[in-house]
Amino acid sequence: MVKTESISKEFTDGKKKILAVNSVNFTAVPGEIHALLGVNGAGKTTLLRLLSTVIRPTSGTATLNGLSIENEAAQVRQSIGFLSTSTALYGRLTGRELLKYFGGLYGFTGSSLNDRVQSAIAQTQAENFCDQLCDRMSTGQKQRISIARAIVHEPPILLFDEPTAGLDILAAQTVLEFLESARENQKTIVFSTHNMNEVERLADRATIIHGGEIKGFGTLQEIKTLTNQPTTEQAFLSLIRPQAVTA
Amino acid sequence: MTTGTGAKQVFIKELREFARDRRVLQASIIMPIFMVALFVFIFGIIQTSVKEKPKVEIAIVTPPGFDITKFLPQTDQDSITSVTSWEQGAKLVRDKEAQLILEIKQENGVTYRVGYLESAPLSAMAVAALQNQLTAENLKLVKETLKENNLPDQTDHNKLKRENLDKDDGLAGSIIVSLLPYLIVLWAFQGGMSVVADLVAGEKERGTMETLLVSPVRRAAVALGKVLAVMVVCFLGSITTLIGVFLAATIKHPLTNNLFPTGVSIGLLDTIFAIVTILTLVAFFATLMVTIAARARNIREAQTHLGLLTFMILMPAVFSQIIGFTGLESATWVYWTPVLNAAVVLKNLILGSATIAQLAPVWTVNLILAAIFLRFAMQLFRREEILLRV
Repeated sequence: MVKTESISKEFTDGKKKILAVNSVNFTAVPGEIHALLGVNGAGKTTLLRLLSTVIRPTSGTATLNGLSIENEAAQVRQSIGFLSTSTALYGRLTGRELLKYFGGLYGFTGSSLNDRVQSAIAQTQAENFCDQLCDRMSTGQKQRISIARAIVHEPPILLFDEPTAGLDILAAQTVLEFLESARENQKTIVFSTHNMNEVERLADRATIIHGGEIKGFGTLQEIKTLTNQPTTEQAFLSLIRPQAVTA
Repeated sequence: MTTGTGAKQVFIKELREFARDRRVLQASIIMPIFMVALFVFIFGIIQTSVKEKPKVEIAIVTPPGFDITKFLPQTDQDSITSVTSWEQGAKLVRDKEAQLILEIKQENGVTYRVGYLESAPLSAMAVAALQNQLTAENLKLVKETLKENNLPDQTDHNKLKRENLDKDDGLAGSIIVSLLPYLIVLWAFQGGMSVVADLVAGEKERGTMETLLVSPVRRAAVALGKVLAVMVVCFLGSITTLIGVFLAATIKHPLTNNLFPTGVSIGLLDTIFAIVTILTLVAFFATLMVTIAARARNIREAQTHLGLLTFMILMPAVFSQIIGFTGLESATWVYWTPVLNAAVVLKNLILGSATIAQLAPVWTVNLILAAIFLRFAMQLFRREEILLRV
């Protein structure tokens, strides 16, 4: 379970202060795919970085499976699988070597490490290319290895930042199918996107974020009812640009 | 997970990547060997040229009927060109067809007038040689006069016997001695420079840093693992240089024979001390480079900063080559000055003349600087605004 409590993050750029995330509250539960829906620069990535303990909140907090991101950061990291916007692989390692490296960083050794690596490879259907250097993989193959890296330690929570960005339709399909199967395995999944089709296909609930603030929260049906709009896209636009939609 | 375990895993992963990176092979092995080969070749040619007596052409203006062979008996007569006027001879010197013009006049005794080019080393050397020859001729004349008058000859009363106290083994007699420490320092730095920007700033740029930070490994462990990996590349660069010189000395070739007249041998203890000195130096270099690369937003910014740093690092190393001419070689501050101290001590170790009093400050300075910069690097790896900015 992921729960944020008025979490905020302010960055300083010279003398200028930027409030990237402003007092955000939302909850995601196991067996649910929760979408963070927003345009570029809305604060989705910052929110996911806060949840993954890469950065610390300016105020407020969050708990993941009851663990505080501030006081129990090390334990939080053990229980999350994080996928960043870029595939972010080491080009001179093979897929298998990379998975072993990260498995080792999560404290696995010997046969348990090999078992975890093999399981991650199987779950992402990467058997045919996992022994190639990452530099020689296609974008879709890289993304599968990225997902395998995120799940090599079998975390109960998955935080995926725009997992289909830059992927062709086949590769994107693989990612979406993976998220669906993870939901069946009772994982708590939070993923950010600005793709309405993905949200409509996957999201059990969504948080609409804009300018660092929450503009809407609930199931897609609840959001459409709340905004009195027939489609998710129109509901989204009415929340982030109310005047434009009204006009 | 402890810092040590995490650092070990990061270190091993970096080494695995280095092993597949051509730049590491080039900067740590191929280029140092190539540079050593190039220097041996160039200095071999220079040494050979210096050992062979250069051909000196002399233009001489003499009075009619003057027997020049009597006055310059040691000079090859083929190298003497008789000219009719000072101006004619001076033109030959300016045109580099002769090294000097000598005008001899017999009035009250013999007077000599010499014209040469101060800017041309061979011309200046020819004047000095001529001066020596004339002095020898004068001495001979004095001896003859003393003998003719039955007077005691005390012209040999003050004798100077020259003796070279350099060791007659190892690299002592080699011109490469002054150059080798500079090359070792140069490649210790260049080796690390080839990878450090990619290793730290590159991780930010590619986004891999973020995924690393999400894992449970401590950030101090990431910094330490990367420092150790850079140290290995730095060490490889400098050790390859040393090995390159030893290889060059073992090859029997006229060029290398002149450079290494008595072969190469450094005592076991001096070798161990040299390795320890290099290790402390590369620890300092690696921590400094990782700190700078960690602050940079991207690879290009890191390379720019490291490029500027190269000049600051290499200036003391360059100075170490000429410090022998300044008389400062034994000054205490030299052994407390970073980089310069390592280069001077390495030279002394090669010559077999380094002492613990010289080595101790070098190791101390390098280790203190390494500790300071390692702490800086670890602090930077804890700062989110540093790690995530690109």
